Amino acid sequence: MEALRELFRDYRFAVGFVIFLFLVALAFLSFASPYDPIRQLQVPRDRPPSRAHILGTNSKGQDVFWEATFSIRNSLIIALIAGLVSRIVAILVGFIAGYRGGTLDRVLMGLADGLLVIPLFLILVMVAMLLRGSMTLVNTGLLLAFFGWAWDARTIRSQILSLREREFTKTSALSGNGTMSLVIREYLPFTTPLIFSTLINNIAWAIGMEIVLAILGLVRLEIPTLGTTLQWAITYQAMLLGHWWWISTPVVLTILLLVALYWLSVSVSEYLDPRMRIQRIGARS
Amino acid sequence: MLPVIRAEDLQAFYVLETPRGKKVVRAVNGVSLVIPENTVYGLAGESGCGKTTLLKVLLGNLEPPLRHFGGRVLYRVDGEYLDALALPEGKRQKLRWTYISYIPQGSMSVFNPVAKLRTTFMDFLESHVSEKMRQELLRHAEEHLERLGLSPKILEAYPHQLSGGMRQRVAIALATLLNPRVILADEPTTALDVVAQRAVLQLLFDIQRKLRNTIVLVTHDMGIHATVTTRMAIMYAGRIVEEGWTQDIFTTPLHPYTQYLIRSLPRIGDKRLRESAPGSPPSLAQLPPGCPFHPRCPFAFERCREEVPELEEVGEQKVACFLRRASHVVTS
Amino acid sequence: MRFVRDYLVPRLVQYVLVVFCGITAVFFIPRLTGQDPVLEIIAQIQAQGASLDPLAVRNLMETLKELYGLKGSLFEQYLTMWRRVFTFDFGPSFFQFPTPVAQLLRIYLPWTIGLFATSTVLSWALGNIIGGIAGYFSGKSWSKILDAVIMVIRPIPHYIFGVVLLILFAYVWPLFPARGLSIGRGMALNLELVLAILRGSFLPALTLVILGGVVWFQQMKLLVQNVKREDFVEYARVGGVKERRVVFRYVLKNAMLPQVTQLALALGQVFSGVLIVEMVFSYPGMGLLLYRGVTRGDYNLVMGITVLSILTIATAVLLLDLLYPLLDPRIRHR
Repeated sequence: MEALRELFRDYRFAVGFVIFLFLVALAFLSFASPYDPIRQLQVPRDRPPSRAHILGTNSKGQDVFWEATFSIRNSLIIALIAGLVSRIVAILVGFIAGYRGGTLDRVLMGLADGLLVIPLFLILVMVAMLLRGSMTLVNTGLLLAFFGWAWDARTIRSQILSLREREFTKTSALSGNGTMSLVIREYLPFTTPLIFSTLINNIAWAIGMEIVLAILGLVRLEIPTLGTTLQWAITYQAMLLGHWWWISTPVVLTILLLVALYWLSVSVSEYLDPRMRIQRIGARS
Repeated sequence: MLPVIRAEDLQAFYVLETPRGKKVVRAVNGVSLVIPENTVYGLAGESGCGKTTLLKVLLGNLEPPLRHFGGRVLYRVDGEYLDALALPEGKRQKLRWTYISYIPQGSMSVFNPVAKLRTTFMDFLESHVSEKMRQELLRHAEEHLERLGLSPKILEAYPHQLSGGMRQRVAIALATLLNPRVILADEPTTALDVVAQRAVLQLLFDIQRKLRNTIVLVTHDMGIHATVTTRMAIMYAGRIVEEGWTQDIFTTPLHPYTQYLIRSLPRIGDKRLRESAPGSPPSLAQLPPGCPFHPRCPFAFERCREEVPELEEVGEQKVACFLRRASHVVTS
Repeated sequence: MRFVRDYLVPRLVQYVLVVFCGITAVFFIPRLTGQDPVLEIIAQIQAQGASLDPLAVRNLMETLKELYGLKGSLFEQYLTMWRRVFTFDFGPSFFQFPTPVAQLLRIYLPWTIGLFATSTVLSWALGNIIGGIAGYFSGKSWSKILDAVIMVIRPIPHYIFGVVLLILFAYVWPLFPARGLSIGRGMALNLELVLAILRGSFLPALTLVILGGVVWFQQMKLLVQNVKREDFVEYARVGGVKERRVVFRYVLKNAMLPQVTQLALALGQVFSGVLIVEMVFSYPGMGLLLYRGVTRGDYNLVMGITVLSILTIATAVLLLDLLYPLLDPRIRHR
């Protein structure tokens, strides 16, 4: 695809893509793990990196490397669920509010605004406290989705508002198209870049939030995720005891993952945006 | 009458990088002008013909993507001719406001919205004049404003508190503060109501008479040219197509484009249907070969499509058209 | 006078509304989960092995219900909650029974506010100024290098960045205390104390200033690149106004205005970031209190922190809103 080739010329996309692919590969590697991700005391404890265990072992008797592959996989699952579900809500709310306008718009936006000024994080924590027992991967993802749609719904709505004023809407409305089919068919191509970049941002946010929830002990701590492995490392005083491999792994992996996602998001949205602008200018002259 | 500014075969283009390659906009495509002193000199033409760019070049204000591709701009400073574009930026800056100043188009947003007008005035004076003189000049500015019919208290206001017409007049006051020899006024009356327009034009006229300098008045409104200017030039697609005394141009327009411009002016008692030139001006990025006007010209013939006509003298006027040889002059 | 009516009053109304809605949300959202915190606690107690006879359990439930404001119908509970908010009575903390939550909050809140205010102002000011200058001179190499560095820092979440700084500067190069500050009673106000505070707050503040600053940097850089092209800036340059003057009085001063509005919108997230950073460094603020409350299932405490946070953020937003007219003459005069 020509688009991909052009994207690869941007070093941010290239680097981000490679790193992300690498991490996804690691996540898939978890299916080949010789160790069970949840059981403890499978290997000698607190061993520094060696040929037998490339990233060493932790104080719970687990291989850090293989735990890491699971942690990437699980964090990504949570974040994907959160991102996709909240996209659906954000798109629905944004489209309806932007297109319908009026009271519905005001109510929905008031709701979204309210969720923004309130420290969402804290309410998220409160709810998580109550649901403590049932925090599976999926549920964590859904919980994050519930709190993650507000910002993007507003952004999508503004775009819909500006699109609505454009010529082709009026023409299409005159030619008798139904509301929903019109909205979806005509607007989606324009909002896709926006939706895509907000998806990536939301995924990144979800990964960060999961870590905080894990530190607070609000997720199922036996399931390895980037957050839980970090949490265990801190609880077992890995830093103090000099077990640097245990605590660095989730930190480094998280940084790599988030930087890669960010670079992908920035390069893709830049590529899609000024392109469209220049193409439109080109059409006029 | 000695010229105060000369432009010799000026070429300045915008070079834009697009994903599809380089795009060159020939905004000033071989312009030669001799602007006399002590005159109100008009520059007429439709929007997009390159007038504003020409002013930028005359000011020596060339910033990428606008680049200088040929020709010279000469200022007559203290009896000598200086090549404005060859001067170092520092020297050019010194000349600005003291020798040549500029009243930009649409004075809606030329003043810093978060600073009082007084502060803006001081900012402009800061680099040209010493501290002591600045205070004096500020007082002089207040008197200046009074003479222009504006209360000096205006300096304490913020730009948004004034009407469009007032802002325009303040901009004129700012441009004339240091008594420059040349003032370039870019569409000073656009977006103003008729009353404000009159006030602004009157002001410019008075200033010119008092300071005995040159005002280059750029506007597409031929009516204004007829009223205020003594000598004028018509610009089309980056080139000057006609030049001469305003009176002559209105009574005997030589270039077909000029004829159209004049014919489209409303006149009391004339109930004929007015027509503007068919079609629209060419894109400055994709100029037609030969004379740039030929696609719209009713008298175009073979030569017009192949050669670019140069500005040549016909009596006291100058015109860039092959027709004058055929003496095909159409009067209104 | 018109200013008061057109600007001040709507802002105050907005403030009251936001606080009202926020606290109502705090009331309702957790109840949507259908979980009963009282049962949670009973379950926790029983899980820890203590066996209670049914009567004792019932009494315990009654007491807890009362303490948690869960008695009566939903409406009654709602009113009870409001009564408590106005009297600043959030009930007793569960893990530090019977210390009232309000007392704990009173001790830890000022530390958070100090860190919040300082780091927010610093990150905003530094981020905007550096970003603005970088935006004005966007062609220069230092500007591009800064861009690249920030592209790496920007996506890092608060907790992770905090941990990185903690490892680097408290363990690898032990320049700063690893356990933050410990606040005891009766601390004398002397130089030693001040230095201890500075040392203990440095890393959390640094984390926040850097992470906050990069966001402002990016936004301001973009803004400045647009303001740079505005008519009045070009005119000033043509007219020979000194470059430094143009950068500060014409470009930055104008670009700062939307950034003030943006700050008001971002305060909720900034505050959350402060709490998270406090957790990393065991800084004696509400973040640390939150950590303790959550890990010990102290629901009252967490609720109290949430309500107080809503109040703090809403007040900060209001203050900013009131500050804005001082900066923008277009709002001040007519």
